[in-house]
Amino acid sequence: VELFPAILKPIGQGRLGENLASDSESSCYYHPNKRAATFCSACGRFLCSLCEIQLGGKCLCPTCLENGRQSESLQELVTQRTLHDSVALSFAALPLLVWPITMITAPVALYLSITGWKKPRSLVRRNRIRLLFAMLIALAQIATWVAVVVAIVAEK
Amino acid sequence: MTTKTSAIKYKKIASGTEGMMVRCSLWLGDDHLLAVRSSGYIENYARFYMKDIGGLVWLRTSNWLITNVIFVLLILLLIMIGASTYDGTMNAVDIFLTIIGIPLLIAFFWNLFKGPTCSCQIITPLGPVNIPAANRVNTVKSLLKKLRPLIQQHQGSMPRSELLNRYDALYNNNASLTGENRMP
Repeated sequence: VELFPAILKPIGQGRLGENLASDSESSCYYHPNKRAATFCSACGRFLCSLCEIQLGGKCLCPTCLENGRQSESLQELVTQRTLHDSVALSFAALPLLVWPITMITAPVALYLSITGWKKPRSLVRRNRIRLLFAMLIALAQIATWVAVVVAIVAEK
Repeated sequence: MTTKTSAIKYKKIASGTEGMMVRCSLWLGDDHLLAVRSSGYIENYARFYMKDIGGLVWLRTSNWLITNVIFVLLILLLIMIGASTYDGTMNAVDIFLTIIGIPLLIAFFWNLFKGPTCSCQIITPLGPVNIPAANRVNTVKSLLKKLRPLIQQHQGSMPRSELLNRYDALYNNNASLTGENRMP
C-alpha cells in the first residue's frame, strides 16, 4: 500500500455562489441574482461559483461543457472511442481467409477507410497507418477482381 | 459556442490483459493517468487526476506461481514422452515434441522473467478502482517510481508516519461518528 495526501481530502463540496449585493455588480448569465465570479473561457459569459466548471486548466460554463462533450471537442470528457481504423483493417484483411467474399468486403473496407480518415481516432494511438494499410489491401483486392473480370470478358 | 482543447500527449507506462480478449493499458498525461480498456474495436477510457489519487494498493496473486507450475509440468511431460520414444535418432515424435516444447519453454521463461502477478487498485475519492494494466509487481513498482514525483508536485509531500497518523485520526473520527468498529 502506498498512500498520498489526497487520501485525507474529503469529497469536494459544491459552491452555491454569492447573491448580488447591489445592481451595479455583474451577475451570472444563468443565475441573474448571483454575483459573477468568473467568465467562460469558450463563450465569455459571466458565471457564478455554482456554474463555473474547471476542466483542463480552463473555466467553462455548463452549456459549453455539454457542447464540448457532444461534439467530442473536449478531449478530457471522451470516455469511449470506436476504432474505425481497426474495423476497416479487419474488413480488408480477415475476409482473405474466405477470399471469394472479398468481392463484397473490399469496397466496404475502402469505404470505411475513406470515411474513417476524418473521424476521431484513439486518444492514445494517433497515426493512420492501419487505415492506410486497409486502403491499400482493399485497393489491391478491387484491382485483382477487376483484372479477373476483364480477363474473363476478354476471353469470351 | 465551445472550446477546442489541444490534443493531450500520452506516454504508455503499463499494459496488461483482462481475461483473454480485453487489452488494458495505462498512459501518463500532463496531469492525469489514462486507463484504457480495448476490445480491439472500441476503447473505453478512465482518467485519474494526480490531485485526486489517494493511494495505490496492490496484492500479490497466485497466478504467476500457478502458471509456472503448469508450464513446468507440461515441459516435464513432454520430456518424459520424448525420453520414452527416443531411440538414438530424432524421429517424428521427437520433432513434434520439440515444436510444442520450445514455445512452452519460451513462455515459461517469459513468465518467470516478468515476475509475480498482483491485482492493483488506485484509491480515488469515490473509492478504489481496479487497474488491470498493472498486473505485475514489477510494473506496479515502476509505476510508483514514475508517479511519486508527479503526485508530489500536485498534492505536496507529507512524511509517511504523519500521513498514517492523520489518516488513522480521520478514520477513528468517522468511525466514532457512524458508530462503526475500528478496522483491524
